[in-house]
Amino acid sequence: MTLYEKHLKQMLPIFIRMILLFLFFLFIIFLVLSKGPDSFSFAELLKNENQDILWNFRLPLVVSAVFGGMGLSVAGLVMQSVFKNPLAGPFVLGVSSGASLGVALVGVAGIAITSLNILPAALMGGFCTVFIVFLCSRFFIGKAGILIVGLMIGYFADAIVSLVLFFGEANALRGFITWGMGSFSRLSIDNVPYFSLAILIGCLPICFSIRYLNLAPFGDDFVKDHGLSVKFFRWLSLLSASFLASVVTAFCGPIAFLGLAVPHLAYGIFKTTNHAVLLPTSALLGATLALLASLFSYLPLQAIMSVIGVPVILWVLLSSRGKNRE
Amino acid sequence: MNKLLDVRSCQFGFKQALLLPFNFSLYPGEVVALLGENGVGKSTFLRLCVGYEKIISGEIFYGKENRENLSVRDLFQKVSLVRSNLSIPDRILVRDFVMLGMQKKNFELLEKVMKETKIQNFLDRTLISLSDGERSRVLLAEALIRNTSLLLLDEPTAFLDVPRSIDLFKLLKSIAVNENKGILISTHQVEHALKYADRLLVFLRNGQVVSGLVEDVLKSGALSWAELD
Repeated sequence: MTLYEKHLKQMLPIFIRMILLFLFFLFIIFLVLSKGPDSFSFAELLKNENQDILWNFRLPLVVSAVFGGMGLSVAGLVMQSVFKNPLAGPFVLGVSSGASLGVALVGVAGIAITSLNILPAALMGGFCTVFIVFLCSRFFIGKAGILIVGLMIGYFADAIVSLVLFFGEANALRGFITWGMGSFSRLSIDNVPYFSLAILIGCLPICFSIRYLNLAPFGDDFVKDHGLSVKFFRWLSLLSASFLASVVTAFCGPIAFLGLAVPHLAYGIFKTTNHAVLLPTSALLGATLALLASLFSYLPLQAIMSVIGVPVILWVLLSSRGKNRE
Repeated sequence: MNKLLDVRSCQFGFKQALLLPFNFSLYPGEVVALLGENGVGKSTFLRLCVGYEKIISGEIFYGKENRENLSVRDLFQKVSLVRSNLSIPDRILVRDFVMLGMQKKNFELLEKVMKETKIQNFLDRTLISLSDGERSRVLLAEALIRNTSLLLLDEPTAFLDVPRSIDLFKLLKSIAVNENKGILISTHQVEHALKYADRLLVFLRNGQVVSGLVEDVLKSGALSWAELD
C-alpha cells in the first residue's frame, strides 16, 4: 500500500464522522423547525394562520443558533491556537465582556438596544479587549499570564458595566439585562441576512489562515521558518475571531463556554490537530450544540450553555492530566 | 562547485559583533559541524542563516542570491532549520506534525523521508510522548519534507545518548551524500563531530573563527577548549 492510499485510509473515519455529524445537524434543524421551544405541533404550523410562527419565530431561531454557534466556536478555536492556550476563548479572554461594556454604554446613552444599534459598540468593545489582551500577552511567557490578563480585563469591563447600570435609568437597564442573559431567539427575520452574512465574512479570512493556525502552536519562530508572515496572519486571524465573537455577542447577547468548549469537543471526536479538519468541524459542532440549546430557548441560554460546557471543560482538564502521568 | 551558502566577511550580534569577520562556504553533499562553547554565537549564526537577526557587516549569499534581497518566503524555499528546543503542544500527532513541512502534497517525498528517518512506526502517536531519540528523527523528517538543499540543525544531539547521536550523524551524512544537500549542524558532541563531519567550523571565546578539514582544525589548536585526549 502506498503512503497516499494509507493517507486516504486514515482520512476515511474523519469523513465518516463528518457526514454523521452533518446528518445529526440536519436532524436537529428539522427538530427545531418542527417541534421548537413553543407548544405548536408541526401539523398546526403548516396551517396557514400559523405559518407566521415558522417564518418569524422558528426560522430566525435556527439561523441565529446555527451562525451564532458557528461564529463563537470558530473564534474560540482561533484564539486557542493563536494564544497557544487550550483555555482561551471569547469569554475567557474578555471579548464578550468588552462587547457587553460597549452595549451597556449605548443603552445608558438612551439608544434603544436593538441588534443593529449595538453592533458597532459591541465590535469596538470586543476589538479593544483583544488588543489590550494581545499587547499584554507579549510580556508574559507562561500560558497562565494571558488568561489572568483576559479574566482581569473581563472583570474590569463587567465592573464598569455594573457602575454604568447603577447610574443608568430603569428603562435602559431592563433592555440591557434581557440582552445580557443571552438568547438565540432575539434575531428578527429582517436581521437574518445581515447576521448570517457577517458571520460568513468573518470566517473567510480564517479559512485563509489554516496553515498559520496549524503552525502557530509551535511558536512564532516556527511559523516564520515556514515562510509565513507572523504579524500579518496573527492579526488577520485574531481580528476575524474577535469580529465573529463581537457580532454574535451583539445579536445574541454574551454566551459563555461555547467558544471554549467546542474546539476541545472537535478534537475529542476527530483526534487531529489539523485545522483543515478542526475548523469546519468546530463550526458544525458549535452550530449543532447551539441548536440543541435553542430547543430550550424558554430557559436562560447562559445557564443551558454552562450546563453543557462545564462537563466538557472538566473532561478536557482531567484527560490532559492523565496524559502527563504516562 | 557551486556554493549553497556563502558567508563573506560577515559579522553579526545584538548590540556589538559576537565574532571577528569571517568567511564560510557550504557545498552540496557535505556535513559541517559547528563547534564552540556555550554563548559564542552558534545558535545566533544558524538563526542568521534562516533570516533572523541583522548582519552588522559583510554579506550572506544563497547560491547567487544575496540574503538582503530574499523575503521570508524565499528563504523557506532555500533553507530549513531543525530546532531541537521547539516547544511542543500536547496533542499534536507525529503524522500531523510531519505534514506541516509540506507545501504541496508530495507523497513520494513523504514516503522517502519517512523511510530515511525510520519514523513509520509511530506516526499515530503524539509528538510529546516520543522518546528523545524518536523525536529528534521526527523533527528532522519535518525539515526534510520542506525539501531545501540547505539544512541546518541547532544542537540536535542535545538530548541524545552516544548511540543515538552516532546514528543521527550517520543518517545526516547519508542524506547529504544521497540527496546532495549541504548540512550544517551545531553540536557539543565534539568527538562525534570529529569522526563523522567532513569539515569543522569553530567559534572561539576570543572572537576568532576557524574553519577547515578536521585534521587541519585539530592541528591549529582551535579545539583546545574541548580538552580532547
